Amino acid sequence: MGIAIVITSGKGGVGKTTSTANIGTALALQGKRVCLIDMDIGLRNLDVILGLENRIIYDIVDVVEGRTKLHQAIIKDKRFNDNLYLLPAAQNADKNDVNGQQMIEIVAELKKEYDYILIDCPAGIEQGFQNSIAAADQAILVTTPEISAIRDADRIIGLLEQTELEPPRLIINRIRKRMMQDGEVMDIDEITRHLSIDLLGIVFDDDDVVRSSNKGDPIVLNPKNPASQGYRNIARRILGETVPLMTLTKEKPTFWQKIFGKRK
Amino acid sequence: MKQSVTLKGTKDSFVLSLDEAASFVSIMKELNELLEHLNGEQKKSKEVQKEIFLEIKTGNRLLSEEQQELLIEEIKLKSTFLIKKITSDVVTIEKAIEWQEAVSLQMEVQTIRSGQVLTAPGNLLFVGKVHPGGMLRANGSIFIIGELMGIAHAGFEGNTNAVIVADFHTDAQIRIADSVEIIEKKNDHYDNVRKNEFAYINDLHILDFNSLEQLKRTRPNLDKVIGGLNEWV
Repeated sequence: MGIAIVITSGKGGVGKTTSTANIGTALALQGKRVCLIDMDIGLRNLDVILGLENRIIYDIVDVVEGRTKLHQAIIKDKRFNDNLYLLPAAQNADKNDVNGQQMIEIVAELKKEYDYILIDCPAGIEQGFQNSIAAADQAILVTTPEISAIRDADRIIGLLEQTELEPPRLIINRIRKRMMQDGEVMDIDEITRHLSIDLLGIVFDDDDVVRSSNKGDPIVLNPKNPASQGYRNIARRILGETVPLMTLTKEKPTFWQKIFGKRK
Repeated sequence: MKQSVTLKGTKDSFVLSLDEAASFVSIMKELNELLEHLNGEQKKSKEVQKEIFLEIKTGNRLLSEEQQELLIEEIKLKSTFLIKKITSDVVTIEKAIEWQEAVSLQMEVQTIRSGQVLTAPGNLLFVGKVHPGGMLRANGSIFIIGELMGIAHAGFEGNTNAVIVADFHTDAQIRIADSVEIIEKKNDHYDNVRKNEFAYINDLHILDFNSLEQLKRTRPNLDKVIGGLNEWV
């Protein structure tokens, strides 16, 4: 029996889809059978980030409306020993075409076959959000150190507390080390204390995340990248391991940077 | 047979007791007889009757509105009694809960997040944090142990006697009845308003702050339950 985890944030653009793709990939690399569900119906992205855009034949609305069987709509990602699968969103439909009950049925079906079902929630708190949380057992909340993202996260925690979900766990995404060290944004402790939920992990901001996503390769495939390490640690914590938090040590300017006064 | 209606005189009024075990029909019958009897005696004495106050006690019984009206009409019609009040030894659970909520101090231990509203029918003792965008509302006063970063609205149904006691040291919004005060870092209040203060509506109907030592003088009845159950029912 698998576990369904919804990945949500409230605010858009904080990295829900990127996080879903990378955590899913990291779990698949650990040998777990993972199915990702893109719930952003009408504005789907998860398939693009995974590089599976051209392989979509059927989508979730086709399944709901009975045009196809569930297993026919699911796309296999061939890179990860047949461990990573995607149920894509429809592009020419909207979020009201699916309801919570249908989501519960789909996820119940998937739980029989997969260890983890990650649901990529759309931004906002409307029908799309309600559908996404309806079938989930756990929730992961993604925020960035920006005050607007934190405020929306706070609102989402409030909404999640009214459901029967377990208390959500927090990912602080796109941390810029220098800004945090200089005190220009709230630091990790402050954010965690303010939102008063458990911290699942932190991910540093890195240009390679975008670069890699553009190619359709999740950043976790590159084990040396700091953002990749963040996601790998998160996946290991989801699996129940105790992994220490990455530290915020200041990058020392290199010899050449010293000379030319270049700052990162 | 036991009488179901008894009339007794006290120092300044008469008390009409209705037996709680008797049926309402028999009460009305006996009341009728009693009043007829009184009328007969009054006619004999031929004294000019001045107004006499009457208190009706219903014991462990609650009369419905219709029954009360029937009773009042009967007495008005057949006697010169002036009904002061109808009292009962019991109240409905519903009334009791309403009263208890309105006068007691409701305690809440939680975090109020953005978009959440906590409403209390009476006074509210809140232990925890009110995040920005969150709101506390109480018809009575609000006492906060913790951090207020959102909105606290005391006396939201127009009770201008309500107060808010909190540490006003973060950005927040204070409302009492229909007055609003915004506490901001830029605002000079922020530095002036120290810990151990309370917000209230002053004599000029302006939301003001004062030190806690002044609370007793400003609202002497705050720590008492104002109005017992009798007044409330």
